[in-house]
This record gives sequence, structure tokens and C-alpha cells, in this order.
Amino acid sequence: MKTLTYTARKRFTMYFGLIESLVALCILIAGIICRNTANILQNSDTFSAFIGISAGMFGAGLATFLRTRSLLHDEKRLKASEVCEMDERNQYIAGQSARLAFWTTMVLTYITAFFALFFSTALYFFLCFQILVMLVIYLVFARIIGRKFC
Amino acid sequence: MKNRIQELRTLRRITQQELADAVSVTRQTIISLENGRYNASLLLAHKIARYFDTAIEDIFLFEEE
Repeated sequence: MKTLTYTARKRFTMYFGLIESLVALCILIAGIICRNTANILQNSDTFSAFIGISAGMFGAGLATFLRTRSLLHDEKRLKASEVCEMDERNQYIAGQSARLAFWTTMVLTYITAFFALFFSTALYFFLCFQILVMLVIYLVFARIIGRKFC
Repeated sequence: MKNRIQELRTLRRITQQELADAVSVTRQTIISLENGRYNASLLLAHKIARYFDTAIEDIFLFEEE
């Protein structure tokens, strides 16, 4: 299988950031227009959450775009970034951290679900559903990645 | 697994950064390898062996437990 070069991947990330920020900006503007013209997002809490999420998405996309763009224009920094990102020890550390974070989250969610049972059945079912979804996603990816090594 | 990276590097007067640049890893990885805190992958072991112009088994010494 042919893999993309680091520069091509960074370029993809840059354009993804740009598209993300533009989409978020469109959603933000549409939300503001809809609040003023149509009868949606009238609740101030819902509107605040909507503004927060879309503005956050816009900021994250823009930051990704600008950061990656400056990286692509600096050969020395791009090389250093590639070495740092492709370094096998760093990848190993990231993989181990992600694995531990996943299982810690699972255990903590399970414990929270147990205690949630005393206060809200809806929250208990929501947390159980979340655990189930995470496990299913884990199994799907384990199968996909496992096939690569068969 | 023990290795002779530090020994070979000192012998040839190569800095950790030079070796790291040659095999496309960070200097921290070379430090960890030399200290025995991290075991290199087969690919990295091969790159290091090729850099020192020697066989993998001459650099990485496998110890049976």
C-alpha cells in the first residue's frame, strides 16, 4: 500500500483545518441568522452552547491551518517536526499512553455508571451505552488493524 | 537487551545528535537506547547497523533470561 509523504499529510492537515474553520464559520453565521429570523435557538443556554461549540471549532480549524502553513514554509522546522512525529520511541509512548488512557476511561466510566444508578437511571443507561459504544469501536478497529497484519 | 551503540559512537567520535540525524530519530531515542531503557525496532536496529557498517548482532546483544 502506498503511503503519503509527511509533507503531503501536513498539506492535507492544513486544508482540512481551513475547511473545518470555514464550515464552523458558516454554521456560526447560520445560527446567528436563524436566531434572529426563524424561531430556533431562542433559549439563551442552547444558543451559548451553540456559539461556544462553533466558535471553538472555528478557532481550532484556523489554528491548525495557520500552524501547519507556517510549518510547511519552513524547511528546517518541517524536518524537525517529521523526525519528532515519526520517531518510533515517541510513537511507542503515544500508543502506550492512548492504550492506558482508553482503559482508565473505561474503568472510570464504569465506576461512575455504578454510582450514577443511585441518582439517575437515565444517566446510568447513558454511561453504559457509552461504554458499549467504546468497546464496539475498539473491537472494530482491532479487527481492521489486525487484518493488516494477517 | 544490551547494545554497543555508545561504545561504537565514542570510538568513531560521533555525537548522539549526528547518529540521531543519520537514522532519522530524535536524540532522546539514542539516549534511551544507550541507557538500555528502550529496545530498538528491527528497522531502527538495521539502520543503526548499516550506519556503523556492521551486523545487527554485533551491536545488539541478545541475552537469554
